[in-house]
Amino acid sequence: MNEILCDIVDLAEKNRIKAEIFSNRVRSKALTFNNDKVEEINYEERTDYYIRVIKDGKIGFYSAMNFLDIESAIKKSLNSSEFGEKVRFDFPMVDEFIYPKTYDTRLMQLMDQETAKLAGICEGFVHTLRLLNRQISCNLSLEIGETVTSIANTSGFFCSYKKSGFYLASWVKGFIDDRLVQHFDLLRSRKQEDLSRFAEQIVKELYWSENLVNVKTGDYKMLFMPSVSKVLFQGFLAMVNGGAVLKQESLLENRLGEKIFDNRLSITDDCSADWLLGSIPFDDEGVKASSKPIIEEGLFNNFLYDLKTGALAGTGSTGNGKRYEGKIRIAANNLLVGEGCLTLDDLIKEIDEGILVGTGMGSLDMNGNFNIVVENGYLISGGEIAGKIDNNLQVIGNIFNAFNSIMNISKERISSGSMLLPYIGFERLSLQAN
Amino acid sequence: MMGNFDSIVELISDCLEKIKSQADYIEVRAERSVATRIEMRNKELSDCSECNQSGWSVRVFKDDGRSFAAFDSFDDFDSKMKSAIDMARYGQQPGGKAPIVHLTAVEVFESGKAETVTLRDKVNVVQRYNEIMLFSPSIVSTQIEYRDFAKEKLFASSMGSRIKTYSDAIIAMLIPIAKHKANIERDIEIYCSDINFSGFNNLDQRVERSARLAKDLTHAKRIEPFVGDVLLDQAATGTLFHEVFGHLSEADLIIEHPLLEEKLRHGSKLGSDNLTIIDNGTIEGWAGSFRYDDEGVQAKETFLMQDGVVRGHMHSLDTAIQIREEPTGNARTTSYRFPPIVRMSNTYVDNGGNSFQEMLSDIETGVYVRGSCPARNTLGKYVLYPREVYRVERGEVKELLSGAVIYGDIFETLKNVSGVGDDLQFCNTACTKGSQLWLPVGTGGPHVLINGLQIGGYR
Repeated sequence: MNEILCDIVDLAEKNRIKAEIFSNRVRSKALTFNNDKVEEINYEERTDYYIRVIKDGKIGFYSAMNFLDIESAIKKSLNSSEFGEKVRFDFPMVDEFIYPKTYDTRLMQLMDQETAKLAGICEGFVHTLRLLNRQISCNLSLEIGETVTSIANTSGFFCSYKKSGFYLASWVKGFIDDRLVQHFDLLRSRKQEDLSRFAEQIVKELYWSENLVNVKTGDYKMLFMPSVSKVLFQGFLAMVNGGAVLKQESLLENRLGEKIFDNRLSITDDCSADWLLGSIPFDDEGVKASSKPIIEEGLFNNFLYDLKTGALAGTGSTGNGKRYEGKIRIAANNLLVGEGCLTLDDLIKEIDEGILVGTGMGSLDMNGNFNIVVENGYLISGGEIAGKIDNNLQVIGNIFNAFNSIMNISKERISSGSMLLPYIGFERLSLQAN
Repeated sequence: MMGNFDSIVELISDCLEKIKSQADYIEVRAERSVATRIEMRNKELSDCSECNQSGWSVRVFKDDGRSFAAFDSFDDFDSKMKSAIDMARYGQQPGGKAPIVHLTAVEVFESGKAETVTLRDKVNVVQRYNEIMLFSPSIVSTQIEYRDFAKEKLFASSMGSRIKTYSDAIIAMLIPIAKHKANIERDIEIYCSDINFSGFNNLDQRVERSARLAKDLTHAKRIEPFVGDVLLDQAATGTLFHEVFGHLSEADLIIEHPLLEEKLRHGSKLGSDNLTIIDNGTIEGWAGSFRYDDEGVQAKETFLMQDGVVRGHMHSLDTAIQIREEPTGNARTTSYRFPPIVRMSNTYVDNGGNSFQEMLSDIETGVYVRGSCPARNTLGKYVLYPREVYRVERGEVKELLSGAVIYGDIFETLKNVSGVGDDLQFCNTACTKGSQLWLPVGTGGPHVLINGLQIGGYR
């Protein structure tokens, strides 16, 4: 693979064009484990190549999966550059990178060992669940994989790093007082995780469904689980996207330095924490990754840029160029939301009457208004979970109002994709119930 | 690298012949494709590229086990096949034996050729649509994503089937973003069809309408949440029933969830009397049509619901054997990288007997929803994010409303269908399931009236 990268750069240099080649070499093994049996084993090997060239100031692209004809790749990307936009950036040079821990050798050894070892992880997890509730059955999907990311360009950059991946999706079904209760959860990490805490949380949430209750429309104190508040943070990230600001699509245009949220809320784009999903030495354009505060005690501090938008804004890239389906997009590396000082149990105890939103289908419009159709919602009464809410619910609000009426933030933080989020309590949010 | 497809057929056939006795059933899929992507943001082309892709995969059924492996190269083909057979011994399929009983060997060699449209021509059309969207200073930003692909696929099985197919498609998404004071709104127009560039080149009116809608939404009144009647146009009907009943009728989902299996038994009365929902992969010209699915099973018509009664489910070979029903030719995959799973082909609501005017005049308080739109669902619940919603009062369509969200319980919604129109129209779109994105499917139906739906908003 390295040879291909060098050949592309050599050929570009011979043709006196600027060029960059990005490649991802992926290897993964997955198994589905249903009702105590391995049902299917999947294995994949693939290599993706993405080329960008700059000729006469205009950018061109080409991509290929698995096989790259070097001459044709350069020709096609040059052909594309005829229509490309004028860009003001150059491909970056090598920097002094800091490499966070992203590769778990022990995990990868496991991938190459007998499939029975992977099945053993699933069996162990089910065993832990059954120690907590004997009647549990579950469908699991376990995937282990590695990605080698390499970038070379005509500015002399040639670097690569490896990431390992551990992914467990669980659909747990159990019986409480002869009533079927179900729970879906995901665990994603760069290393093999201790699954006992994950199992404990799943069973705890199953027991929250012990009673069924109904609630009425009104304003309630609300507690969002990390997977729900993720919807709000994703919407917020769309607003701090430097590209959106340049296109006047962001409500945060001209608000740098302003206090926009409660001073208990701090949000950081982090790239250096070991084992977090978004930790990297350099972004997908070869720019040194850096950690930066986006919100510091409620104060809005930074937009995120890639090479193109950073050049247009005059700030330079912030190391947030990420490839998504091959295209460079602006995204946070790890979005870390600062922790509070109370545990989840303490947060629940503080609420006399309120709602814990466990999972939901959420969306945010471009004005910061959100709508979450609740899938799993729990009534909190007298500082305790009183039961699972049976009627159809939607929570509506606006992130600026919500993040300015924070009741409390939990001490525990949970990984949700490349976000590390606490449980967040809100003083008042509107609930529509049927 | 994948060279000549004919030599690949030979390589696979020779190997299958040698090793077929080592497993109950083996199938190999090979694929090569060429795709174009054009992306425009505001007035700049932010992507304009060609993408070449090739690879192959093997699926093995052995005793009670099953494996799937995907590779980027044909090097060491025989040993990769053997390791897939070796992996299969760990998988224990719940239904028991491999589904070979259903298979008859077929030999089909289709060929196709993509239309010769230059990159320049494609860029010109995309730029023209961008200009159309920027008709007013209120449109502060635009986004167009255009993709097309032409794909050759080869399917070969140890039972002797050899199927070579050719497919192509254009999928495009056009997004105008409008701003008025501090209010920002957008519309999303999606186009999907087989490669028929003249069809894509003829969307001027649709694009202009979409941009005007985005602008109008910035001035529209925000919806206040209420419970009311919802009249869906043909495209919105297609989206809703694809989400609320189509996905629910995919047998892999039913098998995973015993409660669904109970509810969706043949003969269960789940919908209102006038509701008939069909999946049909054989309709000429629809995006979800094909001759053979990705397991080599011929496409067919399946009644999912007839007059409100469950009549069938969509199946792959796997799910058919587990539920002991006939395969329906619904095993599809977006790439050789993934094993085929149960997917819809063209799923639509059949004509009923009500006229549009009749249904409209039945509404005391409600909304009229136009156009296909994003939607999400989980087991039993769904959310629809309509693009274009008008208030309806005493049988009259009133003003445009912004920020509407329609949500509810799937089974209640099926029962509350009170009118089914007589003006069936089809609509091509793309569907996502798990990690398999952008699969061309057909949807559609006539106007449909549903009573007592929850209409929410963002504020």
